[in-house]
Amino acid sequence: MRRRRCMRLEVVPAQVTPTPSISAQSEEQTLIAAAKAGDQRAYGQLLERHHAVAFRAAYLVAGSAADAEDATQEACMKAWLAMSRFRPDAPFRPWLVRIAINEARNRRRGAGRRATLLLRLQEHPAHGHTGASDSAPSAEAEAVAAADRAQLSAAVGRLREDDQLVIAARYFLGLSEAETAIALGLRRGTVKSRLSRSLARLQAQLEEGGA
Amino acid sequence: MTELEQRLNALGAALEVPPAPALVPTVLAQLPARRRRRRPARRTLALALAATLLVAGAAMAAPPTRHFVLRILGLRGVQIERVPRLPTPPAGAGTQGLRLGIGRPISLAAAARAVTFTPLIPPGTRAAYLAHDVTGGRISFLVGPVLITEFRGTAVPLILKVLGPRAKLTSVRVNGSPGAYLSRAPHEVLFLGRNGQVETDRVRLARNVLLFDRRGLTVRIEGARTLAQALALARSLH
Repeated sequence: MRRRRCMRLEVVPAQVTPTPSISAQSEEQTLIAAAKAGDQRAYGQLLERHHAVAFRAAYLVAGSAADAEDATQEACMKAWLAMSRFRPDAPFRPWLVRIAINEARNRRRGAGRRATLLLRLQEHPAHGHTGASDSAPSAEAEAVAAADRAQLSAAVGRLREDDQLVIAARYFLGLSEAETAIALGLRRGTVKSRLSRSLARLQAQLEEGGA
Repeated sequence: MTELEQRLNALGAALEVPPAPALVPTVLAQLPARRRRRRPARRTLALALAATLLVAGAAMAAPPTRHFVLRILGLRGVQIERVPRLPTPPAGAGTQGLRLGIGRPISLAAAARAVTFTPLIPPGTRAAYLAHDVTGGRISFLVGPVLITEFRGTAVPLILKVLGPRAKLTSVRVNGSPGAYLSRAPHEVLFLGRNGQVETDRVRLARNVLLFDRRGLTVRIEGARTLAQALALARSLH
């Protein structure tokens, strides 16, 4: 299995989406049940697990670290206030992400920014390539990879926000299809079809640009 | 997984996203208590309103017998608490003119370079005061008896305002941005250190304070005689 580690990001990279073990799932459900009953410490543990991905989503949408921080904090507050309505067997992470995305959108709208995701590239991303050997790629290979990322990022940036969001949820936030449906407020079938169309549009963008 | 999907995964790993701030303790500190038994939706909403000050242009009168933490949505860096009785401020604390703690005098040009934001300048002002006790720095101006303070608003409160039962808190909007006007009775102003603890040597009383957000900057105007005067001054800042 291809593994990639990014040392500079707190969120697990998109292609590594660990399937929670049964004990991890039941532990989370225990925390959720306790939080629903008013246990703030349990709620804090839930937040420790999931606030980073909520912040990442908020940052991509809001386009500003300050707004993303505000949006995430507000999302955490609102999630607490809504815990009594939260289904105990539902996953917490995409629900928190959804609230954070909505808060981030509100702030973006308030700041008058365009409805598009902020896709800024690291200057020197950590290398996670595993090929025949684990040696770092050559400077030339890295330059080619960087150009590819820049081209792809620009192409994603030209898509409509709906397409950007479903792509971001799946590949930039590491959400599963089911989690993406919750995070974006869509039915699972809609996520499948929208993702398929988004990827097709993205491919078309890349081909127009000669990538 | 297709080649395009692999490329998207690689792109996701290469995006520049700041590390998530450690906001869980701050969130937990601000959570309203919830009782263990399930509440009907209307009581939940009442709790939410009690814990959050909604920007609506109306006066908010939290019951004076209870301790409320009020958050003004969109106004960052400031936490307002309503307490049943105002704590006795330390000796030496007073209203304006005494131990304002506004920092050292500095020219306007130097002020703009010394902080991480572009200050809003009151008309006719030639000098400012600079303090570095908050992240990004704090700039103050004295316009006659009125003190104007500006700092980059943050999610973590930098200033704590403690209102007694007689103080009045009014939600306002300044140029479309959220704000609050504190009046009628003095309130305590406390600066919070980096660890969230109160800097007890910098507690004082303040009266008639207008707080508002201007593009991420938190602005505080203290000492105007009326709300109208404070708002006029706020709108004159450029």
